[in-house]
Amino acid sequence: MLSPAALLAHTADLDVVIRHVLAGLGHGIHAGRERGAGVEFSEYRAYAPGDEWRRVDWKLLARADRYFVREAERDSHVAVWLVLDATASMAEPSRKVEKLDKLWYARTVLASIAAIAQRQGDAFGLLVLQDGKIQLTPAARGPRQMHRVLAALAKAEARGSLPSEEILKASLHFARSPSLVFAVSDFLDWPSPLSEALIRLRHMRHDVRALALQTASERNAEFQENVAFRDAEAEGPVYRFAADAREAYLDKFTQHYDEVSAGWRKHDVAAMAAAIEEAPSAVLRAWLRRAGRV
Amino acid sequence: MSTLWWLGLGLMLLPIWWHRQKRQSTKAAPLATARFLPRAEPKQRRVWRWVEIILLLLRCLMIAAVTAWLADLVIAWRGDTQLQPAKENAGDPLRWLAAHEREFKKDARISVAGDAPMPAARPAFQRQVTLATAAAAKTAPTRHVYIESAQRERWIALFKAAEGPVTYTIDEVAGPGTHLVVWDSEAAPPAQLRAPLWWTAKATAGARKLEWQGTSFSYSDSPAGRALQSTPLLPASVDQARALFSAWEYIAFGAAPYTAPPGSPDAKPHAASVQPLPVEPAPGPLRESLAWIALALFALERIFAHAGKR
Repeated sequence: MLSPAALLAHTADLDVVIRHVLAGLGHGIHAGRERGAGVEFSEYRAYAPGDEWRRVDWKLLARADRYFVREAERDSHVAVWLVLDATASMAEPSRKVEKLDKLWYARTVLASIAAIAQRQGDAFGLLVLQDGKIQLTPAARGPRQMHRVLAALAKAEARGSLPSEEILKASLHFARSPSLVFAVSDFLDWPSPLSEALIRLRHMRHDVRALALQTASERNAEFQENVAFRDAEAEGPVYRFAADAREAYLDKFTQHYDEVSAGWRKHDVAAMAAAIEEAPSAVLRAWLRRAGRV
Repeated sequence: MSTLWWLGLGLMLLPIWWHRQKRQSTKAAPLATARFLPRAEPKQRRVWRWVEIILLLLRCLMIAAVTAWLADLVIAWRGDTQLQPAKENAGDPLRWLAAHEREFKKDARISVAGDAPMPAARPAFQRQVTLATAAAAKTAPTRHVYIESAQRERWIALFKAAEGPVTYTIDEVAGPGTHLVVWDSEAAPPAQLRAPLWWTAKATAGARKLEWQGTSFSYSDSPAGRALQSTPLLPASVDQARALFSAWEYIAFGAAPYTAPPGSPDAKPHAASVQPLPVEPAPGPLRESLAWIALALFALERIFAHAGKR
């Protein structure tokens, strides 16, 4: 039987993947107080495909002959921001599961979080960091926003390197109201423009959560021997892997991620590392739980 | 112009350059955590795989074969030769020699014998050519004539006087072997009567004009045959008679070839009249073989290229 990660890797439709991941999840991102019926009425909004039928006001339909949806008053207007690292290193494939790579996993996790935010009625937006540029999907609510975010996630390809600190700084102007920021990357560059930006957001009192993706082969140093390797993001020297290099590799790898974890802890950023061969729902649950907000 | 194609041999540098480029490439797979591995010094591989050597050879040979095909490579193989009018050279050995001169070695001596027709101008050849021609004895051809005229006796006398290189036989009845019908009569000819040429006095509408040796004619074509009209039909002078008979010979039988005079075309008594025969060189005997060789080399190149991809 294929692992859940493998099953999902063979599915091209992000929508189907999200439903599978969220099937066993069953909780939200933050403590919203919306309870359904009995929640204080706020306003009417025009019906959009995907809205729940029980929220349609039938009396207003009879009067106005148009579909309107009741919007409930919310206690918090928390925007959820999803940050996807789509640089070349995220194309690293799993050497154990076919068709699975870091970018696919990151997209799945972020799309699942977007779905949860949409269910909760939160506004959510997306930043895709790729090829030295940022593709921004501004935050909004509703099912149409979900389609926009899914389309942007599906279109992302792993190439290039992270944008510079100046470009990232200019794009983070959204961070005026308190936001939840979910960032998925491999964090192989430390410090990097992305890590600096996330730390800056944390200092601005935003709730920042980071997920570092690794592969099982990277964790266990299981690579082909006597093959030349090069860095995915830079044309530079050539590296080789052999049995005698394994110990040194593992030391450097562990040391690097210890440094990353120490950096997150120092700046009070909730972070965790996961292998892409693990089941996405389990990783998502652990990541959200680790944030300590639910 | 075909010699310019040989410049295409310079294209053989392309596969040589390509193979050198391939040797220098370093294949390295991308790895996100490569920075944690020890560096490797790229090794200079100076060992050629045998498939690469064969591929390079095949590609160079293929370019050479295609260039040779385009340039119509001809290897001179004919030595001293005597040519005579024959079916292989369509009875015109001089014209055949002009088309195939490339096949003869530079120092080949060529002799043309027999009744070889003379070209319009004295030909010039690159090789040493001697004409040892002699006119063959020819029997005078016989032309059958049917005469319909009130002045039949005068016409018969005219044809008798014109005999010489050609013999004329007066048919009592026109038949399939009749070459000429002389219709010097007001009556219309029978509808079923056919002949290659008619001499008539009446011009038909749409007839084309012809000036021949100082005499005006007109001619037209009909299902009965070609009609040559002149007025008066019965020639009034010797010149008119000569014009009429020579027009007939030329229209119906074409100019008779004249035997080339013996001698050497290399002699230049009148340089202006000496020129190469306006004949396109014949395709070389190797052309078809080169095409097949190029095709075979291409097939082998594809096979080895596929085998080399491991």
